[in-house]
Formats: sequence, C-alpha cells, structure tokens
Amino acid sequence: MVEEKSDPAQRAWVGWLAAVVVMTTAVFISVEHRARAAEQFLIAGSNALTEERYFDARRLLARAVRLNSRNGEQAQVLYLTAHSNGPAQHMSQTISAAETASAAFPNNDEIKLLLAKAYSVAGDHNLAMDLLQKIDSPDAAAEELLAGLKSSKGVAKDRIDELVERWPASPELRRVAVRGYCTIRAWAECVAQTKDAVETIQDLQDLYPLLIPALAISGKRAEAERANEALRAIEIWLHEIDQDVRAGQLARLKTADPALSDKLRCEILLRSAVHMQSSAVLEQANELRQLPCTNRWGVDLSHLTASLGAYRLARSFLVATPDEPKSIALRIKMDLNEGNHDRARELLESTMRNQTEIAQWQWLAAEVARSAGRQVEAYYHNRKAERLTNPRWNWK
Amino acid sequence: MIAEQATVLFLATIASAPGSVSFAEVASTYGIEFTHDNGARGEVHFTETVGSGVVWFDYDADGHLDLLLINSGTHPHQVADSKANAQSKLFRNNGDSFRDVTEEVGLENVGYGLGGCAADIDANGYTDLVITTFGENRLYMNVNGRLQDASDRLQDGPKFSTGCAFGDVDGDRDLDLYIVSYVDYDYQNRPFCGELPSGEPNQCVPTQFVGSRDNLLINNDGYFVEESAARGLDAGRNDRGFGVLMIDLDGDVDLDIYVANDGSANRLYRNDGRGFFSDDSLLSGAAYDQSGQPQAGMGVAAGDLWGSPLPELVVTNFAMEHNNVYTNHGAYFADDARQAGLLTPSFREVSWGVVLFDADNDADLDMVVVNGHVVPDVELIEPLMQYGQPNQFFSNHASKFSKQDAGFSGQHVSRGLAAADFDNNGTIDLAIINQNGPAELWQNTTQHGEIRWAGLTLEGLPPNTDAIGAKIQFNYSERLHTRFRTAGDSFLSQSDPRFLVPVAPHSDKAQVTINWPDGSKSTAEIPVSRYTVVAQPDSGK
Repeated sequence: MVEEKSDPAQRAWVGWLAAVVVMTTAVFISVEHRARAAEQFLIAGSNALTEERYFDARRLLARAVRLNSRNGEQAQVLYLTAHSNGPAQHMSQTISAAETASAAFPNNDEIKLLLAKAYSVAGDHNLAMDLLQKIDSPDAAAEELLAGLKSSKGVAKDRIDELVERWPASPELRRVAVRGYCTIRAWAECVAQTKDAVETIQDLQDLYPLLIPALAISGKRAEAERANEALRAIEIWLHEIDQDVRAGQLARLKTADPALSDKLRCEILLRSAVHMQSSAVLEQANELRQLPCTNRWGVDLSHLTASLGAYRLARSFLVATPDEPKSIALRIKMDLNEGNHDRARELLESTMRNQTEIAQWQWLAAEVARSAGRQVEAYYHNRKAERLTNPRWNWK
Repeated sequence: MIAEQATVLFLATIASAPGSVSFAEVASTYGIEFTHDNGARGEVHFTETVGSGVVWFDYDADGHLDLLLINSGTHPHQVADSKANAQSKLFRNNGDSFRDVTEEVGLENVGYGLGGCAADIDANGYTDLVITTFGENRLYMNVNGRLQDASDRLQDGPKFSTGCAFGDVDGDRDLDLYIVSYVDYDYQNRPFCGELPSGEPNQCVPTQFVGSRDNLLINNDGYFVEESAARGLDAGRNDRGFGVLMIDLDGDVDLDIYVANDGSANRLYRNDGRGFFSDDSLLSGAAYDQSGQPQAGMGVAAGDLWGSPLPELVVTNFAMEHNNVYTNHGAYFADDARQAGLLTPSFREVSWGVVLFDADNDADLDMVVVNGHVVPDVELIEPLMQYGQPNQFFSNHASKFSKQDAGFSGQHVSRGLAAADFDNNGTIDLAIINQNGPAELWQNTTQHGEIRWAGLTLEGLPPNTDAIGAKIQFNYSERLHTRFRTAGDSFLSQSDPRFLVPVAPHSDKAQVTINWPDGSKSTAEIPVSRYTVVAQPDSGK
C-alpha cells in the first residue's frame, strides 16, 4: 500500500481555505445575527411606539439604532419619534441623537423635521425655522409657524398666507395658521378663521384665549364676552370633573350648550359620560347617537358602552370606522364574549394576514385560541407576542 | 465699618465703566446676616419650592428704609432641629449699617413665612406689616416702632398664602388688603410625584394641586373682612397665585388688581370704583402670553416703560416660557415680550422677583429679574437646566430691553427681590432672598458723572397717608414720564414706596405733577439731592 503524501503547499492551501470559510461563515452568522437582532428590536420598539409606551420604545429603538442594521434609517426615525413624544426627556440628549441621525441620513426629511422639533423644544427657534424651511411638507410648515411664533424673529403674515396656500388641505397647519394670525395681531383673519378651526375642547382652550381679546380689540365686545363665557363654562366643567374624580365620585351629569358646534357637544357629552354611572352613560350614548359624533368619537364610545355590556349599541358606534385597529380588536372581543368564536377567528385571521409582527394581534390571537380550547396555539401566539414586545437578544 | 464700605465701593467703582450700570454685594459689610431655610429635610414638600420675600419699610419713621427678610424654617409638622431658629428678621437701617432688631421690636417667630407687605393702616405715622405664611397670616400694628401682633383682625383663615398688597379698593380711603393664595397643600397627604435619578423623591408640579381662593379683605374699622366672592373675585377661586399688584390700570382713578398665577390665566380684575370687580383677564389680553398660552406666573411689576401714562405690566415665568411685557393700550394689553427683546433671555430661566426702576438716571425704567430653578438636581433630569441661575439686569433703551452685565456674578437660586434707595443717595439698591442661602444686599455703584436727582415721599390724606394709588408725572429728555405708587410688587416682596426723579444738568429742582388717589391734582417743585415729603392738599372732599 502506497501511502499518499499530500503536497505541503496543497495542505496549506486547504487549511487556508478552511480558515477563510470558517471565518466568513462566522462573520456571516454574526452579521446575520446582528441584523436579526436589530430587526427584532425595531419591531418591538415600533410596537411599543404604537402602544404609546414611550420609555420602552426609546429603550428598544436605541438598541436597534446601535446595532446599525440595514433598517438603520427607519430605526433612527422611530427612535427620534419616540423621543419627541410622551413624557419629557433630556432635551440635550434628543438634540444629540437627532444631530447624529441627521448627519448619517442628511436627505431624510423626517429626521430633519424631528431635529428641528428638538431645537424648538430647547428654545433654539431660529435654528429650527431655518431647518424647517428646507422641508416641503405640511407638517414642516406647521412646525415652522410654531417655532416662528416663539422665535425672536417672529413670523410675517405673508409667510402664513403662503404656507396655507401651499398646503390648503392640512387641518393641522390651518389650526396653527389661525394661531399665527392671532399672535401676530392680524385681527381680521384671527376673528374670521378661529371658529372654523375649533373642533375639540383642546382647540377651544388653545384658540379662544387668542380669539377673545381679538374680538374685544376689534370692537366686538358682546361677541368677546360670549366667547369668554363659553370658555369659562368649559373650564368650570373640566374642573368639576377633575374634582369629582379626585374625590372618587361619579361625575355630575353634564349637558352640552346647544350653541356649541356638534363636534364640541359630542366631546363634552363623551368626556362627561366617561365618569358616570352606567345607566347615565347609556342615556348619554343614545343622545350622542343623535349627533354626528361617530366618526371622531365612535371608537371611544363603543369601548365605553361595550364595557357596560351594551354590545349592540357599541357596534353601532363602530360602523363609521370598520378598519381602525381599535375597532377590529373590540369587535373580536365582543364576538368572544358573545361566544361567537368562529366569527372572531375569521375576523382576526383576515386582519393578521399582513400584520403578523404586531404584538397586539398576537395577544388577541392567543385569547381567541384559548377561548376555543386550543392551548398549544395560544402558547405559540403568546410566545410570539412576548418576543415582539421584549426581544431577548443580548447585544450591547 | 466705613473703611470697609469705602473699599467695597472703590473696588466696584474701578470695575465699572462710566455710564454702565453696576451693583456690588454689601450685605455683610452693612451687618446683614440672614440665611434662608425652606425646611427641606429630605421629605420633599411642595412648599419648599416657593422661597420667601423682602419688604423695605421704614418701621421707625426715621427716614431710612429698614429691611425685613422673611424666612420659612421648619415645616409646621416637623420637629424643631438645629436649623429651626431660622426666622424672619427685621434689620434697622442706621444710615451707615444695619442692626438686627427682630426681638427688640417684638417680631416673634411668624411660622412658615412667605411674603409680606406694609402700609400705615391706622395713620399713626408708623408703618404696619403683614406677613403671609403657610398657615395663619400675621398682622402687626406698629405703635411707635413696636410691632404688636393683631393677627386676629384678619378674617382669612389658614392657607398657603403668598403675595399681598394694601390699597383702598372701595373708595372709603382706608386701606383694604388683598392676600394671594397658592394651592391646597396637605403635609400628611403628599402625592407621589416620581423619583429623581438619584432615587430621591421628585418635586411635584403645581398642576397636581388644586388652586386656592385669594382673599380680598375689606377694612372695617381696622378689622379685615373677607369679601372676595361678594365683590366679583370668584373667577379666581381655583387659581394658583403668587405676585399681586394693586394699581390703576385704566386711568379711571381706582385700584384694579392684577395677579400672576402659576399655570393658569393671570387675573385682571377691573374695579368699578366702589370696590366691586369684573374679571377682565381674557378680554383685556393680559391673561396669557402672546401665543394665547397660560404660563407659570410668579412675580409681577408695573410701570411706564414706553412713555404711556398707563402702566405696562411685567410678569415673570418658569423655564421654557418667556417673561411677559404687557403693553398697555388702554382698552387692551398686548404681550410684547418679543418686541421688547425678552423672548430669548428669559427662556431657560425660572424667574421670580422683578423690579422696574431707573438704574442709570435717564428716566427710563430698567429691570432686574432674579432666577433659580425649583428642583435641586435638575441637571440630572435635564442637562440644559441648572438649579442656580444668573440674575439679570435689563437696560431699557429705545423701547427695548437689552441684557447687560451689572455685576450679579455667579449662579443663584433667588426668589424674593425688592428695590430701595437704602443709603438715600439717589440710586436704587436691591435686596434678594436666596433659597437656603444668604440674603444679599446689592448696592448701586453706577457712575453717572454728576448725579442729579430729587426724592419724593407722598403723604396722602388720612387714613391713606401712604398715598397708595397716587401717581406722579414729570418731563425729562423731552418726554413725559409717569411713576405709580403701587401696592404689592415683585415676588412676595415690597419695594421702596418713595419716588426718584432725575434732574436735568444745571437745574436745582424737579417739577412734578401729582395725581392723588382721590383724583385731585397738585404740582410741586422738589429740590435736588434729598428726599422731600409732599403732603396732599386737603380740598375738603
């Protein structure tokens, strides 16, 4: 038997090749592992953001950003969005993060907008304005006006006109523009446009303090006094609710002034209903049905009435918003409570088809499976939901 | 003592360029030793954020303004500790030094003191005093320089009281009293307001508490009866108030009331002349900032800033807001903070005391604002903020304020501020209370060249001998200037009740017109370089 001796050069080459393969594989696995980790943190952070868990979102998305994956740009946007919302955070930290993101993705308008917002919050309004003027969007226009109104430069009426003309369909910009007209003392525009811009109690609280002196200055004293009374009535009413809640009592029944717009009356009745005893809520809910409230307040109302077991009434409030995630979730829960498992499952499956990475649906799927006695499936959905909420990757 | 003072003034003088405004800190040189104590012992109570005030008044009627420094001390429920002897102190002004006369005059420990105001209520020639507290407010009647506790004459009950002001609101000539109230606070039920990164409890924010009704106490034969609701002040029953002014804002010869509120609309109550008020806050435009947003109102001052015979209002606010300058247009006010150059310099400061005075003898009213955050570890929460902040001097030139270095070196956590010409040299000096720190006395060391001034003390017809509500007018640099005898001032404080008028070179007197509180007028020629008492002519009204 002849012993075959391999060529030393060949052996070295094979060894070298093996080492390269091993190292490449390791690097590939590492990169892939890192990318998957980033992906998981991005998903979990996005879920937390959707659920308005801002601290969680900031923590999770910060890790997604640090892992610097192929979705880095999206991660940066979501991370900064989480910083711009929710409870107060370090202004300097937010600015620093936004500047880093902006340097990495200089053409991303969303990042520019978030950076400008951060400057504005920290008081650098002129800097924010300069940046916002480079972004062509209604959101940026609204932010530009807000920053300008607080800046030492101020805002010219022509600029407000120009932006409103550029983005006529943006309700948010319109509200800010009205605020702008009032602030720069363009009284005629302020008086003419404020009432149309008021859709919510918050709008009223924001804009009436500007409208009231504007009316008085414009010689419409009687109208100013009426507006003053309306604002005062709302504030007293909100204070009374606050007192009732602090005292642990049910809120006093509130009636909405018929002179107010339907939208405001809807909100007043709804907010009043939240703290009432059940029969009063149902009465209130019936009254609300007479008003065109369902678009804006339908989901809240349906949750309220559903919590009292009035499912039929609750469903009627959902007609206008069939595709909203909150509507779908409530319909599924009501189906389950009524024992209609098949309909619940059907609706859930059709909804989840393209949204398997959303934790909310996974939790709900677990509930549906459990109610039908499918414990293994419930376990699977629970695990998946947990992973989407809190990934266990140990990347620093 | 005199050698020490001379050294301080000499050093301050050589440090300041001619014409630029400068102050030098001289508290210890003049014998003022006072350390504020807010009672913080680790429990973190909301009352600790407020601080206290300064009152300049001439308690012994010797022509030198004396200095009351109000202290808080331990909380009412706490056991007295080594720092528990912190109490309010009255310093007598000897002309060239101050002496602690607290015990001598009978001013005992007032409790958790916060603010103060002073006026001669009974027209006996001696100025009486109110100290507001967390608890029962104190009224001291001054009899020949002795302060006698007459708190039972105040029918207002225990509260978290802050600012106060005397003035004749109902036109019967005797002085009524407005006491501002902050929030309902219960030491035993402190809400949990989160934790700092250090693990210490976080300080609560004002909106976590329900506001508390202010009191309008009508003087009824020396007893002060609460009539706020009956007199139209009910709108503010849930406000969280601090600074207050009584001043004629619309020129109709009665005292209106303006209150700076923390986190809600500031209140402007217009007087109908008989002491009944209407809430004109929103309609007047003086309730919110120029964007229509409520701010955290702290201190308030009023004066003729831009040459109008009606007073402008200045309100100090929290950080991330700006201080307001409400220009008085007669029918309405407009927040001109931007136009006045105050947006940026007041954005990161938490501002409290504010005084308007002519610092450089050009007749325009300049401004000092004192600052300081409420959270000791705020840097840990937000690195852009600091607990200690610089106090600020703003020079008024061509209808705009510009921030200038006037020597207020260092970072402070200041609260109360009041202005007075304590050395009777024709320039305004300042006293400042700092949270848990020493009080400061800032002497005006501005070099004017040859200062020409005339001082004026108004003596109204009794019982309003303080002439609260009067105003004087004089011409200087081709413009008519107006000064107001206001009540209430700054933040929980009270400034010099006298007037200073700049006098043109080569003239040896100032010509002033006096509008007395009852609407009558007189003129007077005031000699330079001293204070002159001008009594109201008795027209037999």
